[in-house]
Amino acid sequence: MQRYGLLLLLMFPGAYGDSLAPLADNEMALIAGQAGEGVQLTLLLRNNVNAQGNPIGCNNGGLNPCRMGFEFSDREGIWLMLKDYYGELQINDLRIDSAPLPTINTPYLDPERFESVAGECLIDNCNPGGMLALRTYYPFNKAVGAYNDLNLFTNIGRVALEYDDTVNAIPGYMRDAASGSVLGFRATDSRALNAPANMRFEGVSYVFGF
Amino acid sequence: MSRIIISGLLLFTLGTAQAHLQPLNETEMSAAHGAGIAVALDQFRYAMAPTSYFEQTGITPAGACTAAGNNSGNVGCWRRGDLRWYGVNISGTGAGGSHWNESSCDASTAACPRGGQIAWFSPFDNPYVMRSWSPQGMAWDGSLINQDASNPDKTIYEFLAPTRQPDYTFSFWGEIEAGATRDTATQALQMGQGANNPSGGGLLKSQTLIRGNAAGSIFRLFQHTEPGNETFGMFYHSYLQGDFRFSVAQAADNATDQIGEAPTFDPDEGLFFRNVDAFLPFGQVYYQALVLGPVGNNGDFYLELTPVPDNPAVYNRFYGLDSGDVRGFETARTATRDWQQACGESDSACQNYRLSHGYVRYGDWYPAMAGWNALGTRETVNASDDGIVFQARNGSTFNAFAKRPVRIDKRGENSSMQRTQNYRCDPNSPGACFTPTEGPVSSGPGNNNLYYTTDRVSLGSARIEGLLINQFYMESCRPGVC
Repeated sequence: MQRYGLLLLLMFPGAYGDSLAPLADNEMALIAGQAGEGVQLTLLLRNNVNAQGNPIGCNNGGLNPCRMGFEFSDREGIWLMLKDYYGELQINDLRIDSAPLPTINTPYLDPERFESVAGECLIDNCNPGGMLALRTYYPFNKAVGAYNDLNLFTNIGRVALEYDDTVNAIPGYMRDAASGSVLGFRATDSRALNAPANMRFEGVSYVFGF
Repeated sequence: MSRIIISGLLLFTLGTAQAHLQPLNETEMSAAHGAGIAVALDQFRYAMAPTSYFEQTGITPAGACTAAGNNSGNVGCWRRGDLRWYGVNISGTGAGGSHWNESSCDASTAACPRGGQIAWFSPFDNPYVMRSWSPQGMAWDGSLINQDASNPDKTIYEFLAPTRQPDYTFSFWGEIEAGATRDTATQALQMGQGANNPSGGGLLKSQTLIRGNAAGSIFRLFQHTEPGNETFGMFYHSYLQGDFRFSVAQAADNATDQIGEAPTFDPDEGLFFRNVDAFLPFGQVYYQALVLGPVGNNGDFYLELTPVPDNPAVYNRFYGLDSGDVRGFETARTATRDWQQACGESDSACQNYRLSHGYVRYGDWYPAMAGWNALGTRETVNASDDGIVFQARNGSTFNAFAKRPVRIDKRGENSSMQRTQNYRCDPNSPGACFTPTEGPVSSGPGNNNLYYTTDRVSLGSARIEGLLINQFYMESCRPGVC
């Protein structure tokens, strides 16, 4: 996850060129996406795996650094731990641009979907037809048997609760006291150890707010 | 992780779209309230490779079996279990489609596991929506929440499915493996297979198809309101409608028992649930929620749908009793009678009832009772298009013990009457059919055997109405520990 954040930071200087200047609020309000041109995005995110997709120091049991913890309100000091947690995410050639929504409604129109709690329309006539939307789609890899739009390898070796050690001031997410595991989870492929699961997306996604 | 990715995509668009931006005018800007993010999907299809899978891996249990077969090492013991879901697919229900080996098939029937694209799977004018929201509701202590829309007390996060959407195919094939010994982190799937069964019989491949939709389903996140338990709460109201098929028989021309290899499944065999309509409510805003908590102190946890509080303000809302009905019988009668009618706008009891009472309906037949007529059609004994159906593989038959009595006599089988029999007496004549000579004929168009040889048998329709979940508690239990 940290690597991904770094990747984004590196992209921005390249896109803006020589200098960065803050956008004023009114300039921000002018941004609606781009017509006629798009962005094609290829992304590789590795989480505690090497270039071959194999884990780095994650599967030796015990307190290894490949872990993610959740602590919930009113459950302070108790951590739901995902241990031996590693993986890889690939997004291949995702295209992003903008497009208006159709102006002819589908047979599934439900104006109440676009109402406020008080029952008022949040958009004109409670109908998003014609609104601008962020359009995303995967244009390639559509031959029979091709699955390469989004590839995901995930390993969660162990799941258990860990408790804060209040005597020694060690938070639960830094402990490995629970000897067992409730379950393990993997997203992978049967063709090779640690191969990512291959997925294909067809069609067009329109994302819009209201 | 997904939130970070979405943010990243938006930022990247912003960064590179410098030259040709279309400005929004003031009217368009003022139209955005920030009340929701909608995702519309057109000509949509999602497919995992047939060899790709999600897996729930087991570990060696305490008290593990030490042998196979009929001996003491295989009695009263546990085996590790691994579950794999392969080739998860969301696709259309029309003509065109493919088997798991990519060969073509017609997805307009349940014989074909994967279909084509879905036009407006998420309609742009009735889309999947993510939003923060402040709906009205009742707290655990009985106080009303969010009564003033302009000054809400509590905000939740919710994910909404379309209220109406086209039918689609949701399918996967799966493996259940018993007794594996592999370390999934370091060994390929082909290693350490069910060692106690070298023939590979420790592996069962199956296929699951759903042809329908989940329109109306809602998932919410909010803070539970029970004092002392104000923790992360989840809410899921599940609506499912359509046909379901679970099958295990493989097609002869593309069968395989090799782990991780996708077979083609027989086009006909399986357990079918036709014309399913199911609503399961897990949680109520804001007095009942799915919450997590610890069990013991060695890593286990529970998932609980919290019990409805012992407070008349809350449980009367939960029960949704008709006016003047203190015991619930009349409420149940009217709710069952009026199941196809919308609640009146001012009938809060009816509205509350339908938020808290689930139902599961298999098949379209509905029984006649005093005050209303039967609906739908009773399925024949070998109906294929409605109700709960067991179907043999293509070209095969089986002996079904699906006796459907037309009259049960306490003296036993010889005096009772089965739908599959012909009789020497008039079953509608009082006093008839009581002597041995009046029993079923031994020959003729009927079948007086105790079983029924068929390629298919329908168990008929089933309806569960008024399903009220007061509390649900599930505890994780590491293998062999409890």
